[in-house]
Amino acid sequence: MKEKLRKINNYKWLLPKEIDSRMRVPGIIFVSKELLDRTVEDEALVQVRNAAMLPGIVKASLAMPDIHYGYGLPIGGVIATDWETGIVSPGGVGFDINCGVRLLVTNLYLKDIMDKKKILVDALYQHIPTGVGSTGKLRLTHSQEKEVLAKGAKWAVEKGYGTKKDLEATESYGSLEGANPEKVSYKALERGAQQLGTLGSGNHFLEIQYVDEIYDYRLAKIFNLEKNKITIMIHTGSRGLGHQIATDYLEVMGRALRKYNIVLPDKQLACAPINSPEGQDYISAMKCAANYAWANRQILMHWTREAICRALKASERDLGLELIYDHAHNIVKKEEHIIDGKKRILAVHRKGATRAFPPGHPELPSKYRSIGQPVIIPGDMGRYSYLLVGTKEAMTETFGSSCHGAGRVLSRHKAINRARGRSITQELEKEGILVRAADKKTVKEEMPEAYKDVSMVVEAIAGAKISKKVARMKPIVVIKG
Amino acid sequence: MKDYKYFSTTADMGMEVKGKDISQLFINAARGMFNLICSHKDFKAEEEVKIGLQGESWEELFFKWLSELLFYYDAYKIYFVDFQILKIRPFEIEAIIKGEKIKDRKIEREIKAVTYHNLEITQKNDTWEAKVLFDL
Repeated sequence: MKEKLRKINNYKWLLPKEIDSRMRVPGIIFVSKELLDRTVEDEALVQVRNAAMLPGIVKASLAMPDIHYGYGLPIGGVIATDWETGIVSPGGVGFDINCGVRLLVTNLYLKDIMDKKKILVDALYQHIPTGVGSTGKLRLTHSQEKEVLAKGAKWAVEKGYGTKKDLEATESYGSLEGANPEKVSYKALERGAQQLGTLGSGNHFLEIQYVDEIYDYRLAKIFNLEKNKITIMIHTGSRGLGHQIATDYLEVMGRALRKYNIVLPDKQLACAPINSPEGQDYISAMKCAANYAWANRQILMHWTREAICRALKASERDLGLELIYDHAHNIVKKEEHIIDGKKRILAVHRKGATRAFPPGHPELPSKYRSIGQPVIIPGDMGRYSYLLVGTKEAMTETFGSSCHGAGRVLSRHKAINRARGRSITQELEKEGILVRAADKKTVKEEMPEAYKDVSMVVEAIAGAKISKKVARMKPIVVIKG
Repeated sequence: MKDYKYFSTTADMGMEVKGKDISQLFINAARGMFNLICSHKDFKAEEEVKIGLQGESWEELFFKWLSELLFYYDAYKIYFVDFQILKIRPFEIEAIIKGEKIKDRKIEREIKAVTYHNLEITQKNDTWEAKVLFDL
């Protein structure tokens, strides 16, 4: 498939529509030559092609520079379908609905905590429920859980987890309207009842970082960031509740394919018209999972603040601990975009991709309206993560979207083989990074070498001008699931 | 080939399964999935759940079967070790599954979901085979 790509510019490649008569639109891959040669699998490009066959798809099947082989849509895939005539596909969102990331800035500097890393890692590990199959400190009845699904992070703030100010720094204010808990199965509620306020496992993490590079001083100042400033990043999603909702609706959409005579090359892309009972029910349920994930990250952030204040024997006012932003990277949203000079209402599916709205966009909170949406790009636990902002080019090129992370380069199996006979935890400690995880296997599977160097991905995003670099952060304390 | 073997993609893991009949294929797939979650073999068959499922193809029934087991595992933290299929025919299954409630047991890997990606079930001579990808 790679040989069929045509170079448009240094960061943009066309997968022509003519290569397969079933494609309704072309594919466009935003990637550098180096990433394309070294990291993009042929199967991932097949998935870009397959997505281009979805009914109602608009403009192109897109992929961000962290593209890699997934299921249905590739990871890093972005597609938009017409809200009136198009389809919605759970496979275009993924199982971990509203998996996302949030970034906090503190009043602390690296020198303030250099000798307190051990206290901090212990406090966080003790206070934050992590690990495979982890259950949390909260136990919800189904009726309480339905309130979470309807309200999202607003529910958490009402219950004392954080403040209203946090909601202003959260995509969609941490709550999607139209979330209908009655469209969520008993099974999903059962899985979600004990998992609110849990980090989970795999690539989910909580990190204490410091700013090691500033690229735009004006923007950095607005975010209260400067060199050596301490930041905190949390990456998790909707846990078992979201996984079950996606599973339930994959079955529903499988039947919908037959009902609506939709033929697709991969059942994982199963879909239904947005204007159908199946499509509307999925959107309502997906919003519930998105709200659950926002509540989850809000609660985890609250406990993080508590743990850090306790460990450093200081108040939240002293330490700052202010939320810069929280955004989703597995979601479908109703958005307005200009296509061929005309306003269109679209269902923008982002699977392993981040919304990256430009300065002036009405959906941005007032404090970011003049600079564009913060775009938080986590890397691996040994190198760095980035903060960028959305641009007007993202709006015209990628439906206001950017990448979501480094993306794996080694399979888990290869990572474990590569780590054999080594202590990744000790290697990272020598680099000044304290890691605490429930299981050694997770640390091996998640070792830095298992990921692309996120700076290559960020360079491609910046080169394509779909986000603008603000700052780079390096980890010093890592909690893994 | 063993009853099941794993394969890796960049981000996820999958499994190729075989069985001498459709019933054994479903049992081997269940064993393979739980072995991926945790490779310890000393879980007891003390908790029991009865399962009844229907689909419109073997693939759909297979997807539902593994998804159902994953639901009971994740919602109630039961690691299943014993799978008795009471009835299986196109395209429905009844089974009793038994396992142990995980308390302080160390679990090695989280499977978020069973995917439908390139899921296929084939019958070659007297062997049934399936290929399935998990979201990890």
